[in-house]
Amino acid sequence: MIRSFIKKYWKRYLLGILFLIGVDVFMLFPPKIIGNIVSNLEINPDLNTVGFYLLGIVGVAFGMFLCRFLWRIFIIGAANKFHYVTKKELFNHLLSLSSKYYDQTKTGDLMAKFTNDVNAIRGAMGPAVVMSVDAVFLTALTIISMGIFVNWDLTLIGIIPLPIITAITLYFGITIHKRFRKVQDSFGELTNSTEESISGIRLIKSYGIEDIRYKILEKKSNDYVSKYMSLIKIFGMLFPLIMTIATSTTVISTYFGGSQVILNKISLGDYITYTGYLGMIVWPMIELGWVVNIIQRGRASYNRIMDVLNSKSEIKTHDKSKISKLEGNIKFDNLSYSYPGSREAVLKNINFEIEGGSKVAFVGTTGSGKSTLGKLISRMYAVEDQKIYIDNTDVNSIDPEIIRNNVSFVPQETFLFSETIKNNIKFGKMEATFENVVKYARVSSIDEDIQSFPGKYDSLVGEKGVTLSGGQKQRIAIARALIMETPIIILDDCLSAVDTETEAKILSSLKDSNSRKTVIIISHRLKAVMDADIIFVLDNGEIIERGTHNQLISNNKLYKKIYERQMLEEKLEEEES
Amino acid sequence: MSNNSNIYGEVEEKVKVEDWGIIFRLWKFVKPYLGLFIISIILILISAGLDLLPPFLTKVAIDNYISNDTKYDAVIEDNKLISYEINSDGKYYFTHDEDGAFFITDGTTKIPLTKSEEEELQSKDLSGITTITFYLILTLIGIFFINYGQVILTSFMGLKITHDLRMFLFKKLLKKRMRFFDTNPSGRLSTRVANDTQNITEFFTNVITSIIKDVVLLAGIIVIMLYLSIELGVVSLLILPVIVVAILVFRYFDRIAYRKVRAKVAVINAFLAEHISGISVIKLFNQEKRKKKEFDEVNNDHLKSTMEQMKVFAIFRPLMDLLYYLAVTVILWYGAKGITSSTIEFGVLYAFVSYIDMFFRPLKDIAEKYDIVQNALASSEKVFKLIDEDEENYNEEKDDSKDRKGSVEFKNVWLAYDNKNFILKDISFKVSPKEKIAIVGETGAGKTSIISILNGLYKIQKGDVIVDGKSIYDYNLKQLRKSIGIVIQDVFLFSGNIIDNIRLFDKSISREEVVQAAKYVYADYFIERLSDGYDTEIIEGAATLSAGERQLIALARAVLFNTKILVLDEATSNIDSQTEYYIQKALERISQTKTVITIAHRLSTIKSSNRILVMHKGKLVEEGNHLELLEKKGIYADLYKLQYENEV
Repeated sequence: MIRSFIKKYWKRYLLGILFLIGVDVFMLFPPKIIGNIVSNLEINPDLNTVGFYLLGIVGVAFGMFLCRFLWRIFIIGAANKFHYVTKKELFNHLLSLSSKYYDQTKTGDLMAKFTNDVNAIRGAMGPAVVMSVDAVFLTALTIISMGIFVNWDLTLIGIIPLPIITAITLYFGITIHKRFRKVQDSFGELTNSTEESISGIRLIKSYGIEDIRYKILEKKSNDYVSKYMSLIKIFGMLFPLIMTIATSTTVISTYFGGSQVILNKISLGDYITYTGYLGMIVWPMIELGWVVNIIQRGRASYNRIMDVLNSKSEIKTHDKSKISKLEGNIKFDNLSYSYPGSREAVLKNINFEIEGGSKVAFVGTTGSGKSTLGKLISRMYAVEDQKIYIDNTDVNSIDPEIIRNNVSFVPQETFLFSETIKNNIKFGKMEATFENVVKYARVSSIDEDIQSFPGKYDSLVGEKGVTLSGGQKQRIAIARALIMETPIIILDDCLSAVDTETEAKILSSLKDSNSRKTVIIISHRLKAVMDADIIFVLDNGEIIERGTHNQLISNNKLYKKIYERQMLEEKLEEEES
Repeated sequence: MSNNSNIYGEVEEKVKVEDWGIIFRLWKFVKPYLGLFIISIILILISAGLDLLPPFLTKVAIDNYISNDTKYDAVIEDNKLISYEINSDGKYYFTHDEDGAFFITDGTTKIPLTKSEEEELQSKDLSGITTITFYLILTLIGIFFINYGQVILTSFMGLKITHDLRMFLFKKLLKKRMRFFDTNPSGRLSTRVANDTQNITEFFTNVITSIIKDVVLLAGIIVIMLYLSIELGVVSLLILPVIVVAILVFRYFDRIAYRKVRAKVAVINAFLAEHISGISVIKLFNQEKRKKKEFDEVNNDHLKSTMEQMKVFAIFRPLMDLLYYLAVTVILWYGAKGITSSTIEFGVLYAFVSYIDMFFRPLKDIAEKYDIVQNALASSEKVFKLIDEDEENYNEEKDDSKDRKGSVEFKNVWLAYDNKNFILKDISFKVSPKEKIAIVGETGAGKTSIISILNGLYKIQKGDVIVDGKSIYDYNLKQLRKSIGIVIQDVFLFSGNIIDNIRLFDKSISREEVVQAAKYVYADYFIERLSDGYDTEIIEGAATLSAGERQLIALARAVLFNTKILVLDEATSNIDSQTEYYIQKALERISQTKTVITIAHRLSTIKSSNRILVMHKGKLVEEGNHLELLEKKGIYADLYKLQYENEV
């Protein structure tokens, strides 16, 4: 990534570096000019000449201003651009990864890549470049000028502290980084301990152990204080030390330069020039020490980001079929499945065929594996070849995009975006008309609720807008799926927070609107699926019963048991206390 | 999607800096460290003074030794130098011609010096320079140690103050009502304790000290300038306002640009957090392209704002340098004039140029500290707000440490967590010491609420809860709670080993006692099987232990802490039969010495209870033993069919 970026933007960097060198060249003038002024004043003062020199300084200052402005625009601008490009590539790549990746990666870790790592790289692509160039050119040019304009003996003495400064900053940079990590770890523990006490507050209060938890946190807080102090012991020394060593150039120039003037080896003007030059090369040397750190951190962050960019989705489509419109005939051929990284099979030897246009239901206890079916049909997880067919075509030969254009899968966990309700409903079909939005909101029995919000369909979802109940969210999610008008719709227990009557109403109206629709309902509530053409009962990953409601009731097995329980529950619910 | 920023929110906190109330409250935490505070301020003053020294010393070196415009009174006879001494009103000065020959002159007559006279003069100057160099080195060493000491001292003080504030906050936090914890996300609360107090440290370590130092430096520079030369000093003071204005203008634009960048960063982060969580929805609806475009918009907005910020920097940073050179030019011009008219010496001019350079730094600094101050005050406000929240009344002055018998009575108890929807409606029942009762009911019937109020975690609206003949609200709350063991369904474990989780980190309880308690409740059967036995570390989330095993640990706690009343909410999730068996056996044992109230989910529990209370929709509807209740064919009979009948 970095290569292609530099290939594209090398001209900016080149120009930026040229201007940076321009600044360095300009910087050589003022000390020399001031030296000349002093010489002039000392030997035969002539204010005209002094004025002329001063105009020179002003000119140089303006030149410097221009060059400084330009290198920032070019180099820092390029670094900002890189920041942007990295985030863009990261996000785009994340969209291409499969559910498996997200199961194994914490959102927080990904966020850290977008913030800390990307910033660290920007540091290496911008400020580090500037500092390196400065360190090399400014130092070299200044040393040469010092040698030519003053003399080489003084120059050699003057640069003695320089490598020391670099070594110190480098050493301190590394040590500080190490100790800083320890401080962060300690802070992490402090946060964890606090969080734990808050999560366990009930237990703490119930046993009256507030004092003990207090002491535990106090220990962590004290540890943090001492870790921080150990950082400060080094960190606090760095700047005074650098300042001291930097000012030690004044000692050198005063003692060695001063004696040379007294001994008549150099003029007072040369002495002033010498002092000016020595002052100039201190900062690049300090920066040189930092650069190493910045680059190191940038490289580590770059590797972390490349790890993400190099991971690939395991969902592969081969022997691509030309099919683009699906009818809805679904066939499972002896499928057994276990989630990536788990050995336990959630589905075992599943065999069934669904005819296009029918309404089928999968029921069963929690953990019976019924939810996995929907995820596999919509290709959220990779599945073996020749196990699942849609319209007699292996799903692995159908592009996921085609499948998702034809299958609306409504997962158990409802996720809405913090946009308007309207935009949430037409999420997959931004071109949908408002009439259609309202139509499907009605089908999902959510229109009335939406009308009662102050902003109606334009109300924002989430913290900044309306707070939706679980049931309202679920119904919006259904509308979002229905508006797609796909031939196949899979509802994965996605109305659990809606009361039974409303659920039944929504589910029955699904078929009314389009009778050719294949509807797959995964539910734990039997009442909602009683009218399905066929009901599959899953237990422990296996289909143990199949048939219509009446057939299953007369079967007198698990289905009937669950049914009776639910009827009883309902009875209790209705009972007045 | 024209305006994402409205949706993801531009985060902009506005805080009144002039909130003296906050500063006054903070001051209370500073007070114990007043001594350190004063010492560090003294160190700052010294350090500022030392910082001002080097240019001044160099000036002395230049004027008295290096430069040859030092004026002397000289006694001259026969074109020979007899004696001379420094006198700023003297007529003579030493100089050399182009061939390097040394002579003393009053401008008209030149008296050449002999080699020895020249060397004597030079060695005087050289020793002068050596002395100055020596002082310079001393100053440098001083700067190093004083600054270092000052940093250590202020950091220590800041950390200590933060530590005190944090611990004070935490102590207060633990006393807040349960309701408070239910309504405030734990992440936010721990941010207050850890991070917000942290922001306040910055204020003490970074801001106070550097502001004092900057002000002292600025004042010092002005004083020295005027002392060195009224004329140049006045000129400098005329230039300085221009610089100050330039810096203020820069800060103004910089703040605007910075805030914009920060707001955009917040938008990007909100966008990312949301879209990473909802990525499956994006993929299911084939919206990758649209979302890529949307992110690009947000990302581009951020890029634009960083570019704007860069431009502000690109103009103002170089502008500062430009101003510096212009200021130096002006100083040099007036200085040159002063030198030609002999009113100013070279060293003074040198010192002025150095001081002008020094003048820029604190000005930039002061402006930058403003944000930190604002941040710290915002955090303090949040922290104090938390401290001021309502607390539980612990009745700590009362002594209820004596043993309790274990009778419990609910008298017409009404409870609504939100003061509106009543979860418990007029509940009354009595439990005698060592009695074993079970409470049954559907989910949401109000069973768990009974536990929550028994030890006063939640306040009831009406009625009273009485333990051993006294209202629980009249007890020393901590001591009361210690006598009631509560085992909830999802037993909480701290990170730490099993021993510490049973004795709840109370190190005064010995390992033997812990093991004994664990054995008493049959918990040692599974503990012994763990990889490190009693020393097995529980890791966050703790999938290592099943719900049943966790309940056994909680039972061991109750035994260890010698509680008189045990309340158990049986785990509903599948417990393996062996664990289940041990829990039952443990309960049998415990019920011989304690009052046991069980929220029952198991047939065996209800069958072995003396009495069963049936809850339905917040009310107590039936009461009696298992057989009596079954015969009633009421709610219990239905519940029994629903929940227990299928159990084998």
